[in-house]
Amino acid sequence: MQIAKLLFLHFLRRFFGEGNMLFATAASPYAGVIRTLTMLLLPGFLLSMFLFPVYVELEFRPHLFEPMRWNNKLLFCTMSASIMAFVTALQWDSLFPDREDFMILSPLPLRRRLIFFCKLTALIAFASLFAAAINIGPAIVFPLASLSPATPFGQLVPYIWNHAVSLFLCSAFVFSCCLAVQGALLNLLPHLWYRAVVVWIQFLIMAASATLLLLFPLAAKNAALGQNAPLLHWFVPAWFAGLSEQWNGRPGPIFAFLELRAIQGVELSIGLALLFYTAAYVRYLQTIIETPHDDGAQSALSRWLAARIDRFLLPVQHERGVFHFIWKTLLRSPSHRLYLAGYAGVACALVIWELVTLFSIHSYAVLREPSPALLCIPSVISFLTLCSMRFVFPRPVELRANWIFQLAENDLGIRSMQAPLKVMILIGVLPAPVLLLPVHWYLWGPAVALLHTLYAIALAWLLAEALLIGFRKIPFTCSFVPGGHNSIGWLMLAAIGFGLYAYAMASVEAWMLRDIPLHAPFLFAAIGLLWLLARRLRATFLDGESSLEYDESIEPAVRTLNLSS
Amino acid sequence: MLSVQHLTKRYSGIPAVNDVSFVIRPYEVLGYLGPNGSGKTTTVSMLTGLIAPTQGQILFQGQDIAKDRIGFKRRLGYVPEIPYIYPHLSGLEYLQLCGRLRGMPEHRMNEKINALLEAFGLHGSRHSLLSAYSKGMKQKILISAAILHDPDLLIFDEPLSGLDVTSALVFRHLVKALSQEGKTILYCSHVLEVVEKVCTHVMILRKGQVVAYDSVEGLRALANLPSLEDIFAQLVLQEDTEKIAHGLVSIMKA
Repeated sequence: MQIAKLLFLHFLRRFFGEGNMLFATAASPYAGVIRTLTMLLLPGFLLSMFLFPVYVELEFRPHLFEPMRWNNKLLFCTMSASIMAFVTALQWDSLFPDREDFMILSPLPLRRRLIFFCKLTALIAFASLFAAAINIGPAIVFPLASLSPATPFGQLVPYIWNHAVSLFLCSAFVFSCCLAVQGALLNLLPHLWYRAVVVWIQFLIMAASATLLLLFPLAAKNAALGQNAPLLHWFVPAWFAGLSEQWNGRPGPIFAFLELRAIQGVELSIGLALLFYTAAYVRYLQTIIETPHDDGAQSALSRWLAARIDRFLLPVQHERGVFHFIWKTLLRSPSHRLYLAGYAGVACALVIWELVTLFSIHSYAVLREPSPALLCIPSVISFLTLCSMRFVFPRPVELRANWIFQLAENDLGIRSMQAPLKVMILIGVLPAPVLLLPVHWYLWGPAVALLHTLYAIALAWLLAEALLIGFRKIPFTCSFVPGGHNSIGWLMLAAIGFGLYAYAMASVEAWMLRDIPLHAPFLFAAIGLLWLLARRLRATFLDGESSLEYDESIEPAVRTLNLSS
Repeated sequence: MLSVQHLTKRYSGIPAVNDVSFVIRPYEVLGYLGPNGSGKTTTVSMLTGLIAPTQGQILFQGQDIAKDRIGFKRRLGYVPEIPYIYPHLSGLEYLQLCGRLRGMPEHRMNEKINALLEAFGLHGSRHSLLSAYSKGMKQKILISAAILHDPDLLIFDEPLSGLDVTSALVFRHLVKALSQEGKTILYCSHVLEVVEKVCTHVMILRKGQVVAYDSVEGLRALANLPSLEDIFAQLVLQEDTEKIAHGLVSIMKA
């Protein structure tokens, strides 16, 4: 029993250990856990608190009381599902025992069954902790705020209990779905294939998580209380909001239906998660130690592509070395690619939201018209992808290994610093406009489609140049001080920039398309000038310094006027 | 020729390396010895430009390396004591990164990398990530990276760490062959037997200060002792090692 307890604690600590995305930037793992749990707890708690005056006011408008309560329950269930999905995607690599676990524990006199049991128990404890942090505020505070004046006080406890259980079941459903997907993939795919698809799964979960939140207003609008809207059948949070309503004695066939969906969903997802997880453990244990780690092997297509990129884009050897280093780090470093997947997921969710909102108002014929709502799509994707890259570039990977860059530093200056820009162009500037070109060609004809593609590329390239102004590091090789910069300020700047770049510039483009011969030359000339200015500024920053940065210098908390000298 | 003059490094006023001077000419191998914490790695870090000296000068071919650090680094090959390398790159990719950062032409670089991987028996695992390499395999990659660009000055800091017997023997011959090619070599190690066999000169450090510096034969004659191990024991060791070993066995049995 003592050994089982020790193993359980060992696995639990591993969730909070070094390299964990959620706690990585904190001063200590303990501080990281507290900070993360607080961050998860606050939104639901504060939102529930803000609802107190709303419900007090609704006492004078009783006909709005029930619809409002249904709407809020739907919101809290959406938050519960969305945040749980996001957290699970971040924790993806630690859901299952890894190679390190097996290497450390296998030589010890421990039964495999015991290791499995302790890992599973620690996993459940970990998930429960996060579910509690996400749901505890809405589970307790919201029922207090939304208790109907007509309800006897004695029913308060069952009301809280029912609401809390439905929220926790919502989180449990999402978590076990993710676990079942991981178990199924581990069973079905060879280890190397599994590693290759993991990033896409994480991206999909994050996209789904953000989409859920963004689609909530639409779902709430379409799923008014008691109505049997088709969206309710597939909008997972609605199942659990319905479950809560049904358990609280709200009449209506739709709630009985949603309750059934919720209970069946939870039973099925937990059953599948346990089945696949256990099967994967048995299979994985046998193969993980023996699997060759040929993750660096490239397919013939990748080799061909790399050779073309080297030949046409990277004539300088030093730049080529830096470029491939950045590329491989983005692909293989779990934390860096997770950041990228997160941003791409949000971009994807914004696009889905944009389209769903558009179609909820107009018919499909609206696609034939290059409206700002459609023109902004490549810009939304490129803005978030480029910003995510600029965000991850300063975060180091194996900092102590940067000696090789320091040792091989040369005097190429700005030429070697073109590598980060070229990676940004290949990942953030070109893909979205180029991949959407055939669709636009089909919808709007070749002239408008080509012009739109060119415009989107020009804007994104300008943004990439602007984002790299003052950046004097080889990505991932410089130390990073969390909180060393004004994060709130940057966040606000990014939000304003996003609005201007993605939406205002789409309106400008729509204006350009109204009279192409008259407006297009003027607009492209303006972008060209700004591009030249950004490029010049970037070069000036680089030329002014003698060497690249390997240690981040942060702004001092107190500035002096240096009057003594 | 590498000439180090009065090299000193202080951390918060406490000297880690104090007034160290030596010269290594082409065809020479200087064995740099000392117990843990004696200042070997600090010296090496200053030589490679990873940290700046508090005092003193380092001259290579008569030029102060501080005046042309980049030119100096181009001619330097370095194997660090601890194999800090990028674990998400494969062995092949890491060597390609080093070659490209050194500005080597692509075709020649790839040929040399393949030949080095074959010679070190790593060709079969060239696509495996470095995180999956054993310590010895990582060491072979670091040695390959250090000699890939045919440098004039080589600094080996504990290069035998983790190497198997055959590879260690190969490496010993490699050092000799490199010195016969006219390379200037600084060799830091704890393995006195190897130092005795491959080095032309020896410097012994204790608490950041030089306690002996001469040719291997010169030291033997001076100390009137048969082996480098005995000289080292006399100059550096202050504890009764046999007594400590017996103490450890007693603890184990307790």
